[in-house]
Amino acid sequence: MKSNQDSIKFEESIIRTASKQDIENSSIKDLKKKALEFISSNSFPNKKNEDWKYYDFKDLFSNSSNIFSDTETFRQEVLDKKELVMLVDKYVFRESSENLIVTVNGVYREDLSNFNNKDIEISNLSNSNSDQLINTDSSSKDQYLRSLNTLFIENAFFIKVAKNKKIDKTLQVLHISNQNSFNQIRSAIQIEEGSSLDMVISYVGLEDSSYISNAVIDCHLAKNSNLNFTKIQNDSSNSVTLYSLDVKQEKDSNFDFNSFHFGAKSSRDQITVDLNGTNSHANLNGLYVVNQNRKTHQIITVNHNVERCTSKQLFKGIISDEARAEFNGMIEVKRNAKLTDAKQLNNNLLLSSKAHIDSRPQLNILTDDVKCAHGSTIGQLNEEELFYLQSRGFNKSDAFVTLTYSFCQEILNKIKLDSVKNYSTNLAFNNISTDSNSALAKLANNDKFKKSRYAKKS
Amino acid sequence: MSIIEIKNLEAIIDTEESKTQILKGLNLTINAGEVHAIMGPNGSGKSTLSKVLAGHPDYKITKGEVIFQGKNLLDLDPDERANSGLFLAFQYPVEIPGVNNLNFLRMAYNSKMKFNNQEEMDPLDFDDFIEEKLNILKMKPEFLERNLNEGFSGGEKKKNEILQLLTLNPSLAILDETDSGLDIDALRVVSEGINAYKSKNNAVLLITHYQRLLDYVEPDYVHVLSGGKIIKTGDKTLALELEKEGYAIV
Repeated sequence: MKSNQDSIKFEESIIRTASKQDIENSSIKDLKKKALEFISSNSFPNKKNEDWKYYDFKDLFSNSSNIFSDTETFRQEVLDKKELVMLVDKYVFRESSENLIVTVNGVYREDLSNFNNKDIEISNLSNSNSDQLINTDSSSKDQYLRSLNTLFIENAFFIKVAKNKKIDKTLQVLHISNQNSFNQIRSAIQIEEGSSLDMVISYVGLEDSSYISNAVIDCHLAKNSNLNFTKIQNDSSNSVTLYSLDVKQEKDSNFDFNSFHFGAKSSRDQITVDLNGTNSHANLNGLYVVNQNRKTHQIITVNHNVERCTSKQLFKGIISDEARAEFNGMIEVKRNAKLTDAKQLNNNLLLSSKAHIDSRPQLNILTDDVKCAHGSTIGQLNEEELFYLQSRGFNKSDAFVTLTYSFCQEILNKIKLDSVKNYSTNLAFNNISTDSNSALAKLANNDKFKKSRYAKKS
Repeated sequence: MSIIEIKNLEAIIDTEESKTQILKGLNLTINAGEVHAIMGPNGSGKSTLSKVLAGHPDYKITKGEVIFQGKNLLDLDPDERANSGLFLAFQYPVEIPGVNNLNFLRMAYNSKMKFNNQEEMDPLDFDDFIEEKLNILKMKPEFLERNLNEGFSGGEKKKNEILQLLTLNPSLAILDETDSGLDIDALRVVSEGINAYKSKNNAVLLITHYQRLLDYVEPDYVHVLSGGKIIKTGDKTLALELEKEGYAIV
């Protein structure tokens, strides 16, 4: 079978690349050895794995054959600093220009970052001990991807918010990728007791560049801490991205996650939240807007491991042309997780007859006295609503934009910063319609007009 | 001067589920300054007429023509009809979550201005403009900050339709059962709105089941629609007779 050969070739490339690593001299020798061992004795996930059932490996293998030549490990192109500075300027959010961390092809770049906040510690393996990382490295559902990433862990960076600190400025992490890179993006985020942090992680690629990203992020929310985490995936349209996010929450902690998918040829997110302390809350929102031949996979698991926790998942998708999407959501309510309150909803808007969605909202409840709800909808734009707007003078295109905006604004409005919201709204509509700008400008600036209304009255 | 001339109009509902002829040779002329009421039994084609005139895609015209202010109405898309001055107040206005009512009204208003090569109104001027209309309908400004019809009561939705009528100030207002589902106070407010709109330059077509609306908005003509055509025309006393005797008398 051809795909099997491709898979073997891909694994061989990975092992060859991994073997070139100087593991013996690494400060985290044991961790790396374990990772290499795992990779050597296991194979890359395949369709037999329920979480990879709908994944199309073709894009991954085709990008990998470009990246890995037979003799060299990488064919990655090098970017000069000037070019990088321009990219950073382009993608930094105004509000975060002084709270910015930049990585290029997965490597933390202190020279491009601009960060000065004594309450947040940013470190990597070169300037701190590795305990923190090793402690956060857990076993996860995607152990192969995690192990692969661990082999390149020198690139990683850690964010730690000191105890009882509320960080008022939003932290931006910008990941830039370029042609033929095989990015092992790694970070660990530790929010100490009583602290809170807002962060936006944005992924961008050089235009049309082909690469593979394998990101692994661990978040630990200590007692009574808050993390508001917005992810905006705007990778190059030729890229393949794999993403594993593992979140562990302690007592009274609150995790707000907003995930946006606009780019990449193929993107796959595996998000796992463990509610390990009572009265902890996880709020997961997502919007994926895919067109052309793009594919996106959202595999979300929330584990209610203890009692009195709440979780909410709301994922919406707009799928057009021949694009495909998968929502695979799971709520696991464990044996001693009484008084759980968990909700999960997936809404999809299909804008063409060839657009495809596999939606699987799932519940697994092992105890009594819980409140759980889940559901999923798949539909087209409503003809009556289109007609209503047209009968008020909206041309077809404005009516279409108004209704799609109506569908997705609930998720876009979760974004706190205006600049981030505008950026995401524009990206969403770039993937839907090319002539959306004028109507969108009128729809998306509610707040501005509201403010002007009241300003004028007072 | 005639606002609309409907000549020998035949239309079918043309959907996957149904292909039925509903309008079977309907004639009606409405002049500027006039109020016409159409009454008729269920299934007679009243709502179909309003939707056909507004350009609903489920209906196909098989015969006849409609001249609207000198233009061939049936050649126009729904948005062009609206921007040319035809307004339909829906029997069941749709809810559009996340779209702010004020933005919606301004977009609708400016669509019309743009279509007619007039200058669009900026948000601040539009604020003053809309406040005036709100006062006519005794609506609170908070109404504008809500999402279009989302979570509105039946009465609020109908009032919002009349607010749109006052905002867009069309040449012809077709009100499809705007009175149904309204309590007495709401009916009075809605009627005041319609009367505030009415002028010698425009016309109103009321589609209704009940005579009581006609106490507030006095019609010049009352038509009975049955079996897809107008079978009787009279003045406002016809409505009173129908209320008393039912459709058996026609």
